[in-house]
Amino acid sequence: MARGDPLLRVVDATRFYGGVAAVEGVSFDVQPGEILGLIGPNGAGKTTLVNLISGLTAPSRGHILFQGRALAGRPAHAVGRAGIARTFQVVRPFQGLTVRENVAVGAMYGRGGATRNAAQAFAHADSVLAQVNLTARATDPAESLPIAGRKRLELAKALAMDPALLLLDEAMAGLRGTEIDEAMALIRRIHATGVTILIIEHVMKVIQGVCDRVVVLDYGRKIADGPPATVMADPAVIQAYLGRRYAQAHGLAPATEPSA
Amino acid sequence: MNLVILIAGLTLSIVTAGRGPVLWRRGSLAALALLALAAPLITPNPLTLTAVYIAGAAAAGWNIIGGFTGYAAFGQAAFFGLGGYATAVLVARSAGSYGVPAPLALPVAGLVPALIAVLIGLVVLRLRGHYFAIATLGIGIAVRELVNNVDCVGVPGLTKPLFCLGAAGGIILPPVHRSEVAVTNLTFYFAALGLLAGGTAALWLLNRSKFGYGLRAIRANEEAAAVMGIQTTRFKVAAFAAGAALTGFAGGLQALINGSVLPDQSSIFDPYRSLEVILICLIGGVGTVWGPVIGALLLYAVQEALIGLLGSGDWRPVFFGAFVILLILFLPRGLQQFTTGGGGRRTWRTLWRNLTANRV
Amino acid sequence: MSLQVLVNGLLLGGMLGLVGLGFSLVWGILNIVNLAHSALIMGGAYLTFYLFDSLHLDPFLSLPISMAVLFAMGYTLQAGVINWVMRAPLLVTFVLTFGFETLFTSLGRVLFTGDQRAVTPAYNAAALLVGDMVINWMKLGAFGVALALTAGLGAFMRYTRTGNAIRAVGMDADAARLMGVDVARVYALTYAISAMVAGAAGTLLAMWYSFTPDSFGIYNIRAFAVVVLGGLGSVPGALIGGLVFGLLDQTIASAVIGDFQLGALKEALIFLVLVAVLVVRPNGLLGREGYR
Repeated sequence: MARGDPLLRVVDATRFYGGVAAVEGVSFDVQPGEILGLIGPNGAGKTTLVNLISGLTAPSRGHILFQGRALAGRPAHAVGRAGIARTFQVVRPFQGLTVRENVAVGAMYGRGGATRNAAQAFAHADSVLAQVNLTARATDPAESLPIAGRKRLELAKALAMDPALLLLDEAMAGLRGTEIDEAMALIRRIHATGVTILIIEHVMKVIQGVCDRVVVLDYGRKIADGPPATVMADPAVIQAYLGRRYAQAHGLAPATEPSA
Repeated sequence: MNLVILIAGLTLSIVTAGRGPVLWRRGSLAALALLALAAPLITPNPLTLTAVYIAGAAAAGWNIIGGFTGYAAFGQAAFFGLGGYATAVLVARSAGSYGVPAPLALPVAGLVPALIAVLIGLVVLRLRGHYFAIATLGIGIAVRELVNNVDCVGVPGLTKPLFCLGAAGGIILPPVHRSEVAVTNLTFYFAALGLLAGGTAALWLLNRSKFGYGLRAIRANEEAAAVMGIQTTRFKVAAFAAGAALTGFAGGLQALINGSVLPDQSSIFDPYRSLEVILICLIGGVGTVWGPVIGALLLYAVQEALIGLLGSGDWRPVFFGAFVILLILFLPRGLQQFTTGGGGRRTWRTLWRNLTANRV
Repeated sequence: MSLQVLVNGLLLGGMLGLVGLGFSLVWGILNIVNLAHSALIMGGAYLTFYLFDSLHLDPFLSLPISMAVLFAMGYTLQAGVINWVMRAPLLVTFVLTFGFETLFTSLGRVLFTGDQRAVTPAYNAAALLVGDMVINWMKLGAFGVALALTAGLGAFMRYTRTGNAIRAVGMDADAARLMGVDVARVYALTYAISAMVAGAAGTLLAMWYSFTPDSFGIYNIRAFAVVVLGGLGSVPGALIGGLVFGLLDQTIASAVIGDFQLGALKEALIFLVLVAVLVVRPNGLLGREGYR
């Protein structure tokens, strides 16, 4: 990989369900070391796009290149081993395993998994648990965690895979104010260790607080791409995504239409 | 006498599997081993215990795919039968068989069901839930029917057949020992004991291995497991094959004990095996190391007691069905609910909670 | 395919559709693969046999009796037992119905003995001759009854209040509950209807084949085949699945390759077709989730 090449390159990513395009013709790059935000209203195709990148869904058309190699159509486990880790919007702890075991699975099978035996995987899991502040709950069943804990566990599972690129699908949804601040600090700490991050988020404070750049989707298409401040001021984005309430609050749109 | 041994063994294995002090657990494991080694001296009929071990080992095989991986396979009898037939083909001295000594044949006999499980698994493991369960139920029937119709299979250009299954006539095996019956029975006893011990050891290793964690991740959520880098298809097929091998070994030993294999329902392909292995794991704890041992001991203890009360014969399956129903209603997670915390005075309340937990 | 094979296949297919109909209903609405289904069919068959053997009751006349008895049994079973595990995982309901199958079938062995039984009214050999085809009148009658019952159930599900309530529960039990449907009662009723249809199938099968208590286990797999071929949880689907299966069955049964009768491998071959269909269409040929 030459200097200056993007870590992830999405070219014309398209996915049809029946005749309906969930994502169509989306192209963007993720540069090494950046935190890229992916935003858009509900149903804009954000999660479909993450599914395409992580190999859970095969694209109908288009290419996805990771570190210069083609990913599109490769199975999810190959994507995971290549160094892309993701979290799920609806968290998926492995029930029946403890918190520590959940994280260890990531350490066993992620990018660094092949070189670790079970004991080494557990040692790595312990360091990740310390990083996300879950050490105290290590031996508890995963399903016993409260929602904030589950979100952190979801993140820890992904981190244990030693990813080069981390896809966070609404990692903050359902968290309260202080919990969001903690999570943002955590994301910055993870980023500081050299992990590139693609983050889907509804909480604007998070996008503005941590992202270097933002890509906006609407109805499956990319409508904007740029620094958060520029994108937020883009009339198309305001119209399509931020909606009346945000626009009204910032004096960017007329307060006329009644709520649907 | 057998009943006493079974109950003693059951108690010891529950303590071994439990969460008591380490010393207790190690002590009861040692006592359990001692009991198993000494049992043939105590009991007049070790073959009953041999049957328990074979059932336990077959169940340990199911536990790998059904318990650890969470794929409810309902056709384990097919692999039990295939293991039996593979052994018979190797050991028998009729046309189309090889006359291999039994101790050499048995290890190979596990490979045949494993190989066939790989082929079947690549197809049926794409199915989930009800569809997988009933597809495997069909495998049990289809494999038996196939065996029922195959006499000799040859290779073009070779005059002698590759192997013969004897179609509806089955295969008769030569006696394992020329010595007296008691010695033969003792040999079988220790072979079955070794198989169950080996199967349990395999589960113990699986339980702490990377592979085992991969399987349990698949059981919990297949998509999330795949995203974490687990090659789900390969893992599932491997688990299916490993389970088939273990169950196949048990079937091979059973074939040696029976002295023949037949394709009819009362012989090595008895479809009841498919239910029995699941039941054993349900009793002892699905997806646990000691589940098959505990389950087999309890199930056969109950059967032994029942034969004492009712005699053997037609009423046994009647009782058996009733037992399954009660177990499912009151203890769907098996005895492990008591071994791992709780229990004691709250027993009845636990049973009641189990009963009412999933009511509409 | 000769015309005779076609006719035989369709006649059998109508019956198999009826066998699959109740199974499909319970699967679609209750999300239970009911392995006790075969035992319910056995109940209908033996009831018919004993009514015929001791009271000389014509098997067609015993139809309403076995339907009523099995309806009552089914209602009791669901309301009394299965409703208690409705929210448990799949393995639990599967093994529970497996337990009932074992219990009923082995009870059958004790109560009815393992002797071969057959229901043979005086007209059982009478046949309609069309060209060189032979069509048994009794089988034709059974086929007619099977079609009528299938149509009746289809109309019931579509046009009655109760039928609509059942379909609503099948689509979304929680939503139905919020709308005031007594879900537990609907489950019991659905299972009872399924058992009733199984009872009718038992009566008709008793005219078709001779049987022992162990002859019926195979009907679980057949019912499953019907569901896979015709799609889960629809009345017309069950009929279509049954007809397809009947034709498949009779074609294989009559086929000869060299000097080998393909019929000897019938179950294995049909099963192979099923798995192939499932792999291509994991929800069955015409499949969808839920009930239509």
